[in-house]
Amino acid sequence: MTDVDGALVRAENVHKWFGQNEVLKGVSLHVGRGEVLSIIGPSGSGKSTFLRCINQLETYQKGRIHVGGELIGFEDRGGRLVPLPNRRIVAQRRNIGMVFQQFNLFWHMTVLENIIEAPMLVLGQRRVEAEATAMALLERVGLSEKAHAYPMKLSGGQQQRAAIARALAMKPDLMLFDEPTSALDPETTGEVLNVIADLARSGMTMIVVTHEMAFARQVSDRVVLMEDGKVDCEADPETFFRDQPSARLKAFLATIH
Amino acid sequence: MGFDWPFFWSRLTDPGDLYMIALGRTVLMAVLAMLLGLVIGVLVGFGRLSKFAPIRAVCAFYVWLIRGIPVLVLLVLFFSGLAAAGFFRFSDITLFGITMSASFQAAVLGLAIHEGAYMAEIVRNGIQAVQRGQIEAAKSLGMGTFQLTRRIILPQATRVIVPPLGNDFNHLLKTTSLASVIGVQEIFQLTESMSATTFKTFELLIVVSITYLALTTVWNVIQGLIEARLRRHERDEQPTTLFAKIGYYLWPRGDAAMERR
Ligand SMILES: Nc1ncnc2c1ncn2[C@@H]1O[C@H](COP(=O)(O)OP(=O)(O)O)[C@@H](O)[C@H]1O
Ligand SMILES: [Mg+2]
Repeated sequence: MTDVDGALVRAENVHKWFGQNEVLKGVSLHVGRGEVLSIIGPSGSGKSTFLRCINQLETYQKGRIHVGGELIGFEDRGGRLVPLPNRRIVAQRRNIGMVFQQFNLFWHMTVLENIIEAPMLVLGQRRVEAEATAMALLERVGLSEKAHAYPMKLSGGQQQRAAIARALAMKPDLMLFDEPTSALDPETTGEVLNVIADLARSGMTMIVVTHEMAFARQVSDRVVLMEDGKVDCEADPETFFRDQPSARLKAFLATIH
Repeated sequence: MGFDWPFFWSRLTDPGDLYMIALGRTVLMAVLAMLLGLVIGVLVGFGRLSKFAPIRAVCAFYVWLIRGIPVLVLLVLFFSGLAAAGFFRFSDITLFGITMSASFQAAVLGLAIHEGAYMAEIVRNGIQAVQRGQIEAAKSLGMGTFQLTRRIILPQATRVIVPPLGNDFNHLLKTTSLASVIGVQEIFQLTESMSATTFKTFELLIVVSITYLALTTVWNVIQGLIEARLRRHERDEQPTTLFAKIGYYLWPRGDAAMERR
């Protein structure tokens, strides 16, 4: 993947409608390679929808999203955007990992099977190779002893760590986290945040939608406030949380403290 | 008058070749109709959820139509009705040295078309039971439609589909008796023709009832084994012995049922 202007992800003026309801009203963002961007904002402001547009779980209708220099979901034919065939969209998703609020592990597979499934099926890895990678990832997220357990038997925190390992097994260039700890007990939130922070330090490019302000402050390179389908303000975490450079940000931070 | 015990016991313990062949026909008819019905059910079940409205409409029409017609009527319609109208006449065919009579073919087809309509609903429900989130996770991992259907949707839908499907097969094993009406020589038809000559109607009907009961019992055990295997991921301790596996199905623990959510 090549980058455009040094950014791995570049979103320009992205619009998305659900029927008549305009949910994204011109989102522009960029994320540099190795950078960690946190997105905060009130519920319903379009954070999830934006993440889902990046890996084409939703289709945006106006604007452009580039990942690694490649236009996501469309082909540019002299300025006119033509939707890509499904096969191309499927291929584009391979380099983008996603972690969901509800973990979404495959219930009929053990943790190890969950992790090796896509590398074997999609990348054509051999089982020994895929299993070796999977075991190393499980070690990294502290879940080695649960390799052969079924998801139903794991706590939420364990399921989420397994889901992170599953996404990493595809060796993505970019990781998207959609409120990865919102469905967790306070006790298990920490263990998942540690894993994500660890990944951030390792140089992974990430976009993290979160309500954990302390986490956003410590781990991100930049923080963005999304409000009503638009980027309200963005800054480095110190400036963002100390100076609170917008009235809406002040109001939002006041509601959660 | 009264119950002829010696006759009853001799029929039960030594039913004779003719009865065993008829029994084979009953089982074969049920198995073939089930397999064919399953193919129809999977196609129509997926078709009901197709992106294309005409496919959805055709599949919905099939389900609506077939579920509104009695099986008995369907069987006679296939065997006699089509021939009478000159549309299609079944004729005997021999495959691998086994001759399948025209009535047997009509019965298998009629039962399969009947079963297919019910199975389509079971299959559709099973597909819809797969969590959206897991499908999205599979997509986010780069799986294509075919890959995620085969590896995620089908295995999970199977867990939901198998218990009601097993129930259907239990039903089908006995519904085969209706094929006697179009002249298939299965166990009920044989029982009827024997009672016409021996007048031991009651004894023979008890024997044939016991035979059906034996068939469904064997099927119960097989279904138990299949379900125990499919429910592996829901249990802490796995049943290991054959007896424990059957027991798990026949007498599931209350808390296991609760845990399933
Ligand atoms: N599949 C959908 N169909 C219709 N409306 C949707 C859908 N998904 C999200 N929305 C709407 O889009 C808006 C933004 O939702 P979302 O992106 O989930 O916000 P956030 O993640 O910031 O809470 C909400 O008003 C929501 O109701
Ligand atoms: Mg959200």
